[in-house]
Amino acid sequence: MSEMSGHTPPGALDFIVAGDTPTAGAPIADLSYRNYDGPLHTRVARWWIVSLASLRLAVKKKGFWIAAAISILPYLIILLQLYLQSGTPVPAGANPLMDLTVGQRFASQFFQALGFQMFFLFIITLLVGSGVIAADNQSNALLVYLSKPLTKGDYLLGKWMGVFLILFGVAFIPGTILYVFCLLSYYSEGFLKNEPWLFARMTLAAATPAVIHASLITGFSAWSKSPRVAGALYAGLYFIGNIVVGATWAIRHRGNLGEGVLERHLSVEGVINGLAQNLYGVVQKLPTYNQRTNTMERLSIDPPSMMVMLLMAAAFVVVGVGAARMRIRAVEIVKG
Amino acid sequence: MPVATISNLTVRYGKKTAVSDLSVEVPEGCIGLLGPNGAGKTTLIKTLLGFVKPAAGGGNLLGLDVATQGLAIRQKIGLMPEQDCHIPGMNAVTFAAYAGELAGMPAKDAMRRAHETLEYCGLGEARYRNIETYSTGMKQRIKLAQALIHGPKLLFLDEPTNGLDPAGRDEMLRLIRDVSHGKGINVIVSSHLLPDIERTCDQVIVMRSGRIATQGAVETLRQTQGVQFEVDLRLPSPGFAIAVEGKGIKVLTQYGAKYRLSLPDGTVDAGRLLFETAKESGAQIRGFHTALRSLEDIFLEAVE
Repeated sequence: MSEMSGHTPPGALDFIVAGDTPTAGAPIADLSYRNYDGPLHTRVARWWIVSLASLRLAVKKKGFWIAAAISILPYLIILLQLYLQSGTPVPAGANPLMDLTVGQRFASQFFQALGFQMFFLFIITLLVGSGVIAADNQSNALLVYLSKPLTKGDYLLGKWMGVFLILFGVAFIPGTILYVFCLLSYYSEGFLKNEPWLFARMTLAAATPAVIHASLITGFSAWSKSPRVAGALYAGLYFIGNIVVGATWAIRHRGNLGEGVLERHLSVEGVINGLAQNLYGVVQKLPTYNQRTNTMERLSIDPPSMMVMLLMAAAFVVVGVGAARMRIRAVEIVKG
Repeated sequence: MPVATISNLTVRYGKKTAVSDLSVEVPEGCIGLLGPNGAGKTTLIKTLLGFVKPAAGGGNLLGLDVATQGLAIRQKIGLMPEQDCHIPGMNAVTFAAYAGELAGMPAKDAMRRAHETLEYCGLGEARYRNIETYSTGMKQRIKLAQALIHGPKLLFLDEPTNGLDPAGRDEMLRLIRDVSHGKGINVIVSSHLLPDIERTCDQVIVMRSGRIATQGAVETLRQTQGVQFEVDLRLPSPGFAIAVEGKGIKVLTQYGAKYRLSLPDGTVDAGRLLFETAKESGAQIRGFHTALRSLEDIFLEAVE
């Protein structure tokens, strides 16, 4: 205090008389209402504000970071495998785990990594997507959104993009790391010349599960008032779809992997997998046991029809987004 | 200039007509929207905000066409809905700033303004708390803050004192009164609580069965056209009551020494008549003035 009064100009505190000291209750700032006369932007990219808020809320969840960290592991394992192999070169055809033919060698690794990541992408979808609209329904937040200069389309695009960007990021970032590793390690072996489109393929393959999951979970979320219900319904569709498709295929083709390739892909996971296989142009080569010749053989499985996969993916997107759009409204209107 | 002009507006929910051929000019200031349940108040607000499409008619709000300029309208208005509404996982300052950004404010301005508005609404101390932990009163205040954040020209308040305790209600009404007077904001308050409207609004619109039942300035509507008077006596006087009735004057109510009287139509000098009657009955008049009707009387008269 003595130090402070040393810096205070004489007479500056004269107005404070004894018993009239400032109290905590006396506001320093003007707390009355003031009009806002600053700029108000037009609607352009208003959806981005909604996306950004969704992203911020999603990254606050601890579960998201755990699932995202685990989902990166397949890429790291493949990276490690490639690193170890680069030290001990194996002649073509001698590696049972890796197809070393040009165009397949790296693409098949990326495809495998995405395949292993698929389950975790689904878990992340549930974590960040199930509440994307359901939580707003639960807390009547749609009234806040739609009473602002925002259309239903802006809101839906913002919410969809929020989920899409998270899923895309989770698949794209480790994919890019793996790509950069391959580029640096195999550049001298003609990596860019042999795999000129690999980065573009990886980008599209990372976007595929993001688009399909984001569309479907947005649809489920819009029709629910509870994120848990939305998540449970989507999980039901995902798993039951897999089980039904898998069981039907097994009964019809007696488990022969070489048959019914398209049928095996008629589920959400199957479509994502089928599209990724088409995008990478991978021919799966699975080791099988031939009972007649008593030897191990490699069974080649071509990707399912790209056209059918694209049509099914489009159907998922249209149904998911369409269902969400139909349900989004500021107020309930009961017609009677 | 009227805040809103509505002409021949008809809104239907399936076969049910909620608003029927309604035409009204909503003046500037603080306007109370009254009416019994199902009168069409909320439907009218929803239609003006573009949430409901009218079957016929239309109108304009702040000079903008309701049917075609919904986005421009929503940039200039603020809505405080009746039900609880917030964005899960956000604290008050993030929520208010987010509402500002949605309304078109730059992020920096929205954040600064969020702090100011929350202070104004009495949430300064609780601004960093998650809204889900707020009490009912605080939730009402945050709804007001998100409606005010972008400096709207017109504010819709739907049942703003719902669920508030007397102190919270007083505070909310003080805020409404403050924001709607001398701040350049027009306010439309929809409420069932007539005393709230009486304390905050200058004008009322009473709706009944999807139509306007009555409309006007509260002070004008409360006038009894000089037919009713309130008389204060020094002491209660049964003799005064008998004497006035003998002159054709009706005693409407009596609370202690305060009498509400209805004089016969065509009474020319009410003062002289009352003083003479008091003198005859030995009562002493301390004061008298033209009686004002309560808003409840106006409301009941309009909706019956």
